[in-house]
This record gives sequence, structure tokens and C-alpha cells, in this order.
Amino acid sequence: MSEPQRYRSKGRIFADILRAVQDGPAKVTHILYRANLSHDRLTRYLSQLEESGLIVRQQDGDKITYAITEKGQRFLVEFRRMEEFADAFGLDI
Amino acid sequence: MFPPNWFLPFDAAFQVLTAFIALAVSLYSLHGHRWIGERTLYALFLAFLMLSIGLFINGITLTYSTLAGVTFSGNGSSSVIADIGFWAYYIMSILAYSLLVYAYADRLRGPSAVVAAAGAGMGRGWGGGIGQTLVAAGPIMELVLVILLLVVVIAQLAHLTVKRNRFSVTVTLSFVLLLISHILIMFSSLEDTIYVAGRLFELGGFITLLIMLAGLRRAG
Repeated sequence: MSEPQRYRSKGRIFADILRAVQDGPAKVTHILYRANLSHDRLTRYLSQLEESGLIVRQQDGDKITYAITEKGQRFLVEFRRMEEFADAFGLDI
Repeated sequence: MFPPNWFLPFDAAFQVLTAFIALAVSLYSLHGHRWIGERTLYALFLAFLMLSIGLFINGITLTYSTLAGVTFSGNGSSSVIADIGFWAYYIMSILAYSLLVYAYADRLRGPSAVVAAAGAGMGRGWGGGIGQTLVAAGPIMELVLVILLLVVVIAQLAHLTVKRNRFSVTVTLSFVLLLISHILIMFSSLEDTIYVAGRLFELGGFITLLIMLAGLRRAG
């Protein structure tokens, strides 16, 4: 039985997107699938992540991919830590 | 309700030590909030900051009491400065634990909003008696803290039934120790050693929190 759908905070959505590109540059369709977001929402979050310096947009001809930055990797490490920290208090982030 | 005079310097030292531990938890939460921007982390930051400020105030008040030779005979003989210090400590502690209760209720939403309202109400409800000595008010304030901590412990135990790891067990243990400490302090007018035991339990609770924090940093 699958886990019930729960509210995802902005931080968690950021982390889900970053995890989708963690193993290497990924296309929008791949990120859509991995982060489970609609195209409109993903576009909005991708530009926010780009502005924050957590991902970079790469263009090779018609092919557009997104890659995680060093700051993005750091965000994921901090997110994991804080997830455990909040969880220790029985709280979600 | 009051510390035996021989214990005052130790009590002051314990309070300052626990204040530093609460500050460490608070700063860790703030660090996380700056990265992740989650309000849960901000609530933890504020709660532990208030707790830390309250404990620092209590530490300073106890130090002042030691140096000024304030006696706690149970006849209302404590000084005005000491009274204000203890009231500030209790108000900050009650606000801090109320915020924690609110954070738990906010997580659970729905039915637990009642718990949050109760917690917030308790936080506000005891602010009108400044001027009374702590001989009369202390046990009541401790009772409020016990009720708030009881809610926190129940929420932690409920969480443990769903998800259990060493960090959540450690945090639950620390809140249980804090709960026991406030129960003991509430009844400390019966016997001086009960107060000392209460403070030792409180110190144990905060040290357990520090161990959790160190474990998290190592794991990260």
C-alpha cells in the first residue's frame, strides 16, 4: 500500500527537484517525473532555484538540461540534516 | 519550592549550563531555517531561544540571590529583584513550551488546535500576579510547565509509535526527564533533596538534548 499523499513544503519540493538532478544534468521531463510536479509549477520552481544559485540551466542546441550546483548539494545536505532534526522532535519540514 | 541555600551556587551554574545547551539547539534550528526556510524550524528556534533566555535569567537571579544573601525560607522573604527574575524565568519557560505545543498541534492540525489554544491560553493566563512572592506562585507556575511538558511528551510518544529512531528516542527521553524535573520541583517544599533531584533531572534532560545534537552533527 502506498504512503498517503501529504502536504509538501516549499523546502521539500526544492529538495525533490534537486534530488532529481543530483546524479547529473537532467531534462525537464525527467525532473517532472521524479519531483512529481505539474509543468507550470516546475517551471516556477526551476526559475526560483536558478535565481538562488542552487541549479544551473545548460543549453546544447535544442536540448535544455538542469544541473545541481555546489550550493545545491549543500542545500540537500542541510535539508537531510534538518529533516532528521525536526523528525527527532516529531515535527515535519 | 526553593533551593536549599547550600545548593544555590550549583543551581546557578546548572541553569547557565542548561541555558547554553538550549541556545545551541536554538542556533542549530536557526541555521536550518536560514537554509531551508521552514516555519517548523523557526518555531523550534524561537522556543529554545526563549527557554535559553529564561534559563539565563534564572541563572543570573540565582547568582544574585547567592551574592546578596537572599534566603528562601518559605516566608515570602525573597527580594523584589529575585522575584522579578524568577517571574521572568517562568514566563519565558511557559511561552517556550507553549510554542512547542503549538508546533505539535500545527503538525497534527484539526483536533489538536484545541491543544494549541489551551497551551497558548495557559501561556497568557498566569501573567497577572507579579508582585506575589514565589512561595505562593511557584508551584502553580511549575504546574503549568508540567501540563505543557506533558502535552509535549504525549506528542513525542505518539510520534515514536509511528516512527522511531535513535534521535527521536533521545529527544523523548530528554522531555521525559524535564517533565520529571518539574514535577519534583513542584513538590520540593516537602524536602530540600527533592529540589536538588529535580534540578539534576533537568540537567540530565538538557544533556540528553546535547547528545542528540552532537549525534546529528556527526551523522550529517
